[in-house]
Amino acid sequence: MAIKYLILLSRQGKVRLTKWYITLSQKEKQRIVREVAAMIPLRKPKMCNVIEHKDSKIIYRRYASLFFICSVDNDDNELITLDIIQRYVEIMDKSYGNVCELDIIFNFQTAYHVLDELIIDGVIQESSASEVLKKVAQQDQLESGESLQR
Amino acid sequence: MKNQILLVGAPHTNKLTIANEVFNVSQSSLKCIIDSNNGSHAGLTIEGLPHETKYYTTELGLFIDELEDDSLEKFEIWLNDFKSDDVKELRDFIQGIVFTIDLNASSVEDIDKIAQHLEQLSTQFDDEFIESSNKQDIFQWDGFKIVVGVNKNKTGESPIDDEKLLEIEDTILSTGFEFINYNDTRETNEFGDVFGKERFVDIIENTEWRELDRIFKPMAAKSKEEEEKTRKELATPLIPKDKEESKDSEEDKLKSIENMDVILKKLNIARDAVKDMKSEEQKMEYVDNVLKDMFKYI
Repeated sequence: MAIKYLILLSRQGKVRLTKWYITLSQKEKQRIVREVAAMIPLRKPKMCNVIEHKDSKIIYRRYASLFFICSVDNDDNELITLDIIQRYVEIMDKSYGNVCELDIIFNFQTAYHVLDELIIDGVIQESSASEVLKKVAQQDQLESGESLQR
Repeated sequence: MKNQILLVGAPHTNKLTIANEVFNVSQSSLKCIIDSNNGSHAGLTIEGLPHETKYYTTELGLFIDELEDDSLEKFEIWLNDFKSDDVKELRDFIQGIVFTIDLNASSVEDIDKIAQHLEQLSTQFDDEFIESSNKQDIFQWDGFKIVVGVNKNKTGESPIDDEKLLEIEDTILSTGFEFINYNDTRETNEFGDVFGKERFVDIIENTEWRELDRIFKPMAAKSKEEEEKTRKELATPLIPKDKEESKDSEEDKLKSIENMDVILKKLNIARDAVKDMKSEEQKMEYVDNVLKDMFKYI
C-alpha cells in the first residue's frame, strides 16, 4: 500500500507541511490542497476519520491544532495508515521534545527529515522509531560538524 | 509596521479585555489611549506590542473599532463598508481580523445572517491576497480570522446553552473563521485542544508574521572529547566485523606497537655497541645475533 500524499493542516486551514509521493502538476497540487482544506477542518471530533474522495480515500487524524491528512487507494488499509500517522507523530514528539504546531512552522526541516526516514515513495520503510531517531540524530551531528568546520 | 490586527465588536464585548489579557496592553496604557480618543473605544490604535515565542520575536499592532450598538443591522453595515473598495488598503495591511460578539444578545439566526457576510469576507481576503502575491503556490490569506464569543450576561454568570454554542461554532466554522468562546475555561482535552483565551494566544503564536526576527540558537561549542567521539562514530565501518575477529585484531595491534618499540630500542643499543667494536668479524657476528633476536618480534 502506498500513501499518495501527506498534508498537515492547521485548524485555521493553513498548510504546515506537504509531501507528495505521486507526480502531480503544481495546479493539481493546489487544487487538492484547496479541496482538503475546505473539507477536513470542518469535520467534528466524532466524525469518521476516513472519507471517500473521488478515486481514493482520505484518512486523517487530529492532534491538538493540526490535522494529519493522508490519501491512499481505495483498496488500501485505513488502519495501517492511521498507525503510520501515529508513528510519525510519536517520532516527531521525541525528536522535537513535546512537538507543537509552532515547531513544525519554524523548525520544519526536522519534520521533513523524520518523514523522509520513515516513508519512502509512500511506503513505510522503517517501522522502528528508535532507528529513525538515531538516523536523524546522526545526520544532525554530521550537519553540525560541517557547520563547525566552516 | 505590518503586523496589524483589527479587533471589532459591539460595545461591551471584551475588546479591551482581549487587548489586556491576550496582547498584554496594560490598563494604564489603555486608559491613556481611550482618554486621548475622547473616551471612545472606536478607532483606537495601539502599536509596538512585544510578542515573543521560542522561535521569533516581533511587535504587533492593534486597531480597535467599535460598532454603534449590538444590533445585527449595524454589524451588517460595518461589514458591507469593510468589504468595499475604499477599504482595500486596510484589508491588505492587516494580518488578522477578530470580531467580538455577545453570545447572550445574539441568536443563532442572527449569527446565520452574519455568517453569509463573513464567508464573503473570507473569500475576499483570500482572493485579494492571491492576486497581490507573486508566489504561485499561495491559495489563501496569510492572516487569521476569528470570531470571539463573550458571555456578558449582566444578571450573573449563567452559562450559555451548549447546543447553542455548538450551532454557532458550526455556522462560523463553515465561513472560514474560527470560533472561540472566550469564557471557556475547559482544560486541554484528549485531542490536545486548548480553549478560550489560550486558543486565542495559540493562534497569535502560530501565525507567520510578515515582520519578525527569528531566534536561532547558536551551535553549542563542542568539547574536544565530543568532537573526537563524533569523528570515531563517523568512521565506524558500515559493515561491522565479527566480534572475536575485531577483538583479536585490537590485541594484535597493541602487541605490534609494543614490538616496534622494543625493536627500535634494541636497534639503537646495537648501533651504539657496534661503534665500540674494532674487528669486522666481531661486528658481523654481533649484528647476526641482533637480527635473530629481532625476528622474534616481527
